[in-house]
Amino acid sequence: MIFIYLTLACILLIISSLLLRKASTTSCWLSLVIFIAASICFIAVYGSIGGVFVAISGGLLTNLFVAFIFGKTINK
Amino acid sequence: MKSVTLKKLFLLHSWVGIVTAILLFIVCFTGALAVLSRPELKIWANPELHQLSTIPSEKVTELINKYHQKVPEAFGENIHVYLPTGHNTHLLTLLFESHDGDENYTEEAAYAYQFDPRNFELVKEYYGTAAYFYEHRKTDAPSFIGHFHADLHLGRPIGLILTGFLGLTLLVSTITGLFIHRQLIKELFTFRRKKELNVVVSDAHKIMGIWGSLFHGIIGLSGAFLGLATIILLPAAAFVSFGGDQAKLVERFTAMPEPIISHNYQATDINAILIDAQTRYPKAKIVDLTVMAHNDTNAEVYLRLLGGDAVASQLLQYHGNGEFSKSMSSLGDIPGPAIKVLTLLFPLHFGNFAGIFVKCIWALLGLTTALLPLSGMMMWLAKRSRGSNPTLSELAYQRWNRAIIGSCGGLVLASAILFPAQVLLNNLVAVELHNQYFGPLFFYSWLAWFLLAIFPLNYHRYLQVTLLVTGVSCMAVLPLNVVLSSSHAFMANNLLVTVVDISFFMIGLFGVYATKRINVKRLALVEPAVHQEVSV
Repeated sequence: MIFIYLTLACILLIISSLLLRKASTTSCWLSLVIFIAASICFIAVYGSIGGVFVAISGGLLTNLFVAFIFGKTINK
Repeated sequence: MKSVTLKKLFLLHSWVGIVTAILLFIVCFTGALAVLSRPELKIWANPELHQLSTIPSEKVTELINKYHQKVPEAFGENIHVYLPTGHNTHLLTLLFESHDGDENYTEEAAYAYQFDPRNFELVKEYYGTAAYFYEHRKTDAPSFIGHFHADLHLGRPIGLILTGFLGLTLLVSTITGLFIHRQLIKELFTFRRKKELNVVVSDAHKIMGIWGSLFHGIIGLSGAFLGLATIILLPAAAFVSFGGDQAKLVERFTAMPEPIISHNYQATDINAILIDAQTRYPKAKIVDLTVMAHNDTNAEVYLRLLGGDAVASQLLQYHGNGEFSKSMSSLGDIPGPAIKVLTLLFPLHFGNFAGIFVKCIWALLGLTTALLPLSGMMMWLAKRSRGSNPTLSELAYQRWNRAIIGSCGGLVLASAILFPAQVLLNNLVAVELHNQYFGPLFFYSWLAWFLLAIFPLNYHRYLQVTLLVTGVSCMAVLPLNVVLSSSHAFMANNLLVTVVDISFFMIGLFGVYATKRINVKRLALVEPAVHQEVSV
């Protein structure tokens, strides 16, 4: 069960990050909603404080990887 | 914000970065490795811990009772039991301690007994000062790197003060960096990897800085606290509140006060206490226990737990009859929100609050913290060596690059060498001699690599060879283990050993692949300027 939650949370973090990269208002809000869903998965595994810490640090790392892999070539 | 203020912040960011860049890389890189050192890499490095399951509580109780009878009465007042979980000693250790020493020692003295956790055979006996015992415990490659991260092996207080101040400089650089890169939103996902190297490094510096800023800030703050707390904050607090008497302050706030010994016999039920703790916190791991006034009616037992639902480590207090007293933070039973925040700083720094998944996140983010000062320094050097009026000559630019590769690359290489050396030591050298090898191996290989920077080598080639040797060192771990050890990736019934062995191989493979890539990039990007280089 833990494995399923963690896998789901990671997939949600990646989707959230890709949506944030699109930089439109709708996708930013949708990204936030998906990030909260990922946080809930982490909270289910690690408890309230631990889950929030993991969600934030995992989100930052995912965004960093997305920036490195799918980096934009022009500033908008 | 006014442009003058921004300019000042930019100057502060640049100069703080330049002055501390190499030291910050050293501390942050070893910190990223140290995240995984305990217990994961420590278990990998010690074959005694490979097949380890939970130590039976009856056995621990039996050993404590048996060996308590062998030591003088004063040594039964404080008994420390270190369980072989990969967090402290690699053997099951019983340490009977007398705070006032005995007829031979005026300082804290101890009798220590160490047992092989696989069969509980007595492996080592010790009698002497407690400080000497702790200082000369068996070390291994991951523990060596962990200690190096904490105080750079400069000893205390100098090493701790230095790493504490580096934490503060990291915090300053993070905050000033956020102010000077005002267009945060625009640069969130900008990474132009097909542009020239300077642009790639600049973009990488910005996105690592932006996305990692919260992490870098927390690591800087918690690192400064850990480094400076005992050296500066504790004496300062004692000066303000206790007239400079540190011992009084520690006594007032200690988590484990000394009980009054009644000299009335009552068996301390350690077995029941261990079982109760495991039932109360089934997901947590008992790391060590301290028994005070063993087999006395006023006996108290303290258990330190890691993991489980609690983010910070917990200290459980039991009375000698097995009755649960309370659970508190490792800093003691002090009320107030400030102490709760302080206790969170430890797990936030070590990343040890939620298993291996979080540790991997911490290690990767820690690597970005290490790369930030390096990329910043590359940007600073590039800026001064380009343009119509460069302040840095091509020769000086190459010297700087060689110095960075020699110091930072040399550290990476020296760290990588320790792991195949650990496999060789485990299989070819007696355990009691291991401690003699790590220091010379680490520092001499680092020094030798750094001294190479004196020679006018082509710095691209220098970087290439550094990566190649590092990669080969990491790749050597798996075959060496397969050839020499009976517990390796394909034999050990331990997933951790398999994962660590294969991870080393993959990291080494990546290092060798990166070597090839640098060669290609060098030809593609640097060829027009190659005639200006000084090379041998």
